[in-house]
Amino acid sequence: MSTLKVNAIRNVTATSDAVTLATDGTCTANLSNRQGRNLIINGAMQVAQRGTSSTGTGYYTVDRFALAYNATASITQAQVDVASGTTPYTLGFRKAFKVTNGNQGSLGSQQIMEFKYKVEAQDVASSGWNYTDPNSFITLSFWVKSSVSFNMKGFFFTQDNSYNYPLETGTLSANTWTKITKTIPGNSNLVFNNDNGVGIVISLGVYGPFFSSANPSVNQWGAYSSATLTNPSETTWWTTNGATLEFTGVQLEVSDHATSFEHKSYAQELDLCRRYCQVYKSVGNYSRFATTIAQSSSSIRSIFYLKKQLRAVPTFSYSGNFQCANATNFNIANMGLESSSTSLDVVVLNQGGMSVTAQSAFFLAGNNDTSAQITFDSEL
Amino acid sequence: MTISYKKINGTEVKADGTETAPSLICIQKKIDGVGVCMIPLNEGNTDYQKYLAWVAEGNTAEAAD
Repeated sequence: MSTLKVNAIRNVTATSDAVTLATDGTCTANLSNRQGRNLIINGAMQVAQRGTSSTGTGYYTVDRFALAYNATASITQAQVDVASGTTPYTLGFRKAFKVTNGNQGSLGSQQIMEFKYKVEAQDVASSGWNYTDPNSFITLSFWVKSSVSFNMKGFFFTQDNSYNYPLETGTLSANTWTKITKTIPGNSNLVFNNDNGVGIVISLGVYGPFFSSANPSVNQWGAYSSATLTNPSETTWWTTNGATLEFTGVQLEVSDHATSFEHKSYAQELDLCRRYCQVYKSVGNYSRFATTIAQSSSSIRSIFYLKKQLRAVPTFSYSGNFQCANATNFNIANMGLESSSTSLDVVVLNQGGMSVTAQSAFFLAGNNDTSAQITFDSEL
Repeated sequence: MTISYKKINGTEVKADGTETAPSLICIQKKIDGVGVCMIPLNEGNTDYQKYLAWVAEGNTAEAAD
């Protein structure tokens, strides 16, 4: 047996070592495919706990991705399949986030749209990106397909000190999946708090009157102002009735180049998404959701032990029909969120005005409804 | 689409197991007058942050029942 004795291994044309060998017999490898490098959760759009199609503004379909627009616009968001035979399908992408323009004609003065993702601040702070160093880089990559050829605008925005970085895709070819890569340097002014607030906002496909008409330079950091944020995307997409826009394969990594997408299993992505949203769904007509206790003869408490610790104390919402057998006057619409008893791990719902036997126990259950669901939301 | 808010009162459970008198426990968000969710009184919650911003703009939530 022979031993290869070297201090480092480097590609003949590379400027840095791929593997560094230490005198203590250990080594350090510069892996471009290491696990956990994608700072984007659900970048392959696999998880859609809340639903698969909506005209709502905000988080309504694909987890962690929001579509913001105002009331005068008419837009649908949906989780859709990536067509077989296409690239990115051949790269393992099966789902995409689709935006459909609702036949709204010209761009009104109050109409806005943004496809958004918010990275938690502590995930940026601890990512390894030396974000105050202009020689340290972070790279955003994603696949996009538009039914209309246009130059899509967007930006990075740092929440903790309000700096922005305008970007654009260049002219997209209609009905063609295109991979976009943007490598972004650090900047001495950037700040990311080591907390659970918003760190980076990534906005794409932006339209609206508050975006600059001053045509700010793309690919450079600047202190936020309405003149420097970005200018809107070309109106071609907006003014085309029924125009569509699809995204998948979103990756943000500490690197000066885009590596291949870090695919994860559905279960892994769902687990990560549950820090920000947990949806409890019926699977039968009378699915049980929580144990309910009669605190007194007039009030009940439904207690949810969450599947995973949430980012923040959540908002509670529901859809469908529910019952709490033997609890007279039960109405889930009257259930409040007991703030003082709710934590990142446990949610307590509260209803008064009941007629129940004190200290008795019930189930909060669906009421002949296979689509009933309860949502606890702690999104950024 | 008009967003408004309503205060929700409820009892809370004391250490001895008895209940307090009803007081504010959360905020209900309404869209066009219809309740859509219950928001905790917690500043880490982004819906509560939006509620506080709405109040700071001079708006007032509907009183609790």
